[in-house]
Amino acid sequence: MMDLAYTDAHRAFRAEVRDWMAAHVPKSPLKTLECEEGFNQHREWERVLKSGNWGMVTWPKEFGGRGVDLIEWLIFEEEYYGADAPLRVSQNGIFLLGPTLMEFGTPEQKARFLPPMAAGDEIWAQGWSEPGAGSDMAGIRTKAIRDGDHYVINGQKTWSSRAPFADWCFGLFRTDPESEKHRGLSMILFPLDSEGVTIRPIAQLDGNPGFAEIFFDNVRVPVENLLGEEGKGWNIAMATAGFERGLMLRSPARFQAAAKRLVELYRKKQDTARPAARDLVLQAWQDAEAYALSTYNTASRIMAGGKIGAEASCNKIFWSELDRMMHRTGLSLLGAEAELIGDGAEAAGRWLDGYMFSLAGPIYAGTNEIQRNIIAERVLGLPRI
Amino acid sequence: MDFRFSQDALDLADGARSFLDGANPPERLRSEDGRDSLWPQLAALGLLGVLAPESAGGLGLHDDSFVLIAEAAGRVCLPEPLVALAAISVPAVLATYPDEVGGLVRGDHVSPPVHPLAPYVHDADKADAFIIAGPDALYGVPSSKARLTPVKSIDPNRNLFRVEADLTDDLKVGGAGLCAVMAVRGATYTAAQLLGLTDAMIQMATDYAKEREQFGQPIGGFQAIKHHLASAQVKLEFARPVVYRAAASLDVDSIARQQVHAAHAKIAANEAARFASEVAIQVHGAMGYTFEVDLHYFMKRAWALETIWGDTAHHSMIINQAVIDGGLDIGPGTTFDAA
Ligand SMILES: Cc1cc2nc3c(=O)[nH]c(=O)nc-3n(C[C@H](O)[C@H](O)[C@H](O)COP(=O)(O)OP(=O)(O)OC[C@H]3O[C@@H](n4cnc5c(N)ncnc54)[C@H](O)[C@@H]3O)c2cc1C
Repeated sequence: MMDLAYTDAHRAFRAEVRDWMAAHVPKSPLKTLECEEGFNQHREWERVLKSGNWGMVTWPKEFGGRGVDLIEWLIFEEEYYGADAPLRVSQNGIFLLGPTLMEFGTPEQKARFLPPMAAGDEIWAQGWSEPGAGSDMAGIRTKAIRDGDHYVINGQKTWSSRAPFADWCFGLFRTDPESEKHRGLSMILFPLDSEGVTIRPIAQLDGNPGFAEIFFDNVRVPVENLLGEEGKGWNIAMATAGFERGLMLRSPARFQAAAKRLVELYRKKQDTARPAARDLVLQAWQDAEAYALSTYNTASRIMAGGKIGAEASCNKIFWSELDRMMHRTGLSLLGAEAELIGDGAEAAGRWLDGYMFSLAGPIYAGTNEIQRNIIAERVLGLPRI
Repeated sequence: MDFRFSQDALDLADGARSFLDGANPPERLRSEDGRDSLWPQLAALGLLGVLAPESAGGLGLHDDSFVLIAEAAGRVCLPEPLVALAAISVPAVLATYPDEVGGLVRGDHVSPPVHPLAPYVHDADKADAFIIAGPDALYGVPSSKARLTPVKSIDPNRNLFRVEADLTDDLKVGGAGLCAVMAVRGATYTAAQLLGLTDAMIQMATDYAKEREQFGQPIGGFQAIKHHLASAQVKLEFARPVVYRAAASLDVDSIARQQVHAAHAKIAANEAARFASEVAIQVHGAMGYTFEVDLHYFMKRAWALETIWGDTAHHSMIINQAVIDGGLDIGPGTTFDAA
């Protein structure tokens, strides 16, 4: 029979996380991690997490983890969001690069990069997009040309989240200047304070410098920072995208916590809510649960040796559209308050900030239009034209 | 914790699926007769007895071994009420007159369920008895004591009757608890069939989109068509685990939790099926608006199943009570049994 019960070990693990979070989660919310002060507060929080050995629980102990399985990771996430703990400033590293390093990295690279990643000592940015390479990532032009035991990088990346304050960046570069499209790309890791790197922060919708352009002027990066084989970067990037869309980036607990807040808000506001609001609130709860169920299923499959496939695209569409719907609904319950930001408008501020960020969900990690193309072509087998 | 089907359940469902695909091709939906001609084979394959104990000739399995079979039955738009009998009647009889289960499993005896949420019964004229959920008890009513009024369904393969009877004390076979169980099973398994119908409709529209050419190319190459179908696929993918969990929770979780899970399953499947049916007809163009193309059989079955065993309004009120009125613990960590 299908086993949908937690084991005693799971329960003990949950209790341990819950107790620790209750004792350590900051009592008042941190500033947004998209500004310098907030970024530093969040980095401090990562160090507190590390002191409890909670940096990235699924990783082997030698890399700063606890070696727990994906079900325990989900439990950890549930307790984490249940405790209203801060967002993870280290998410690019621990959720995306980390799993990729685990699969493609050399032993030296794992030993070098994973522990400081789990500890919050090195915060990572991602460098895929370029001005001419958005949805069409194969249009990447920034070059990394081999010169002895270094690559020399020239060109420009953009929309790099966390880059204004982060320490390292990973991304795709054209190592074969003659190549086109998916071929000739390589995944390279580099410190953001390398000589020749210029970072120009870009203000996001809320005015904070959450992402940045990165300019490269003869930046020299040692060849040992190549991840995987030279010229095979596209495959590695797709694996990273799989983790991102399929499992790690948005754990269901985050949406379940938001759905719960929405229900609580609705209970307070139901006398002035528009009639359709109740339906939307119920929908939000149901969809957050559906996402949780789907994720437990994915985790179970992966634990049994399965892989994340093109269905990850369904995932990304589902959570991003759910997030936007929830926040839109939350705002709709606030009446004239919905406009207010800043001090004294915490409730409204939270829904508004959440709404603004939810508008980015259908864009980053591959737009939802691109995800629908992928589903149509790779799941349903419709023709590519 | 392992939210996957066992290999045995997958194998069993594979077998059922290949039988159903072969035995119930769309052509069969077009013929007016023979709507119950598969009974002997369904019984011989043991499909009626998946949930019945081995002592009664069944397989003695849990619902997480039948839900995929119900989905497969939906996928071919099976006219025979296999799912209602195997997944609603068999457990009800097992809980009241266990000695009678063998007859149901062998297909000798047909006693469909009747519930205020599912008052119209397919092929009621061929039933030997009815298991009727009354206001506060469950009744076993021989067909001689039931009044059948023919009614017509939009689904040409549903041969419907309104079934009524005087629910006198001598017919009582169980308490209100069994009526609640029946409703939960009805909703869960109707949802499972809707998943199959949704899958079939997406598949038909996808096949059509690969063949039909306009502007010198298959219409499936147009992004508007792709995106319609992809959106339907997303709804299906996220209705599935909800329905599978509802099945897994039958007889396992408290009845209150089973009710919420079944309500969620039915709403999600209703929504997926309705969405897929509208997309599928749109992708077919005028062809989809005809009686000639198979799609309409599936679409009409989906319309029928959307309303029975509780429509979206009914199940939304169950969720509302649990989630907003506060009967249920919500938030991270509450998806499975309260931790
Ligand atoms: C908050 C945020 C954080 C981000 N962080 C990072 C980061 O850390 N690192 C990084 O490298 N990038 C990052 N990005 C960039 C992100 O990956 C890109 O925005 C995304 O890939 C889309 O590219 P684009 O913005 O150039 O849009 P475009 O590709 O120009 O697309 C514009 C519109 O056209 C549509 N479109 C394009 N092509 C097609 C097609 N074939 N079919 C149908 N529709 C199409 C798109 O769906 C979209 O609606 C971030 C973006 C946001 C919003």
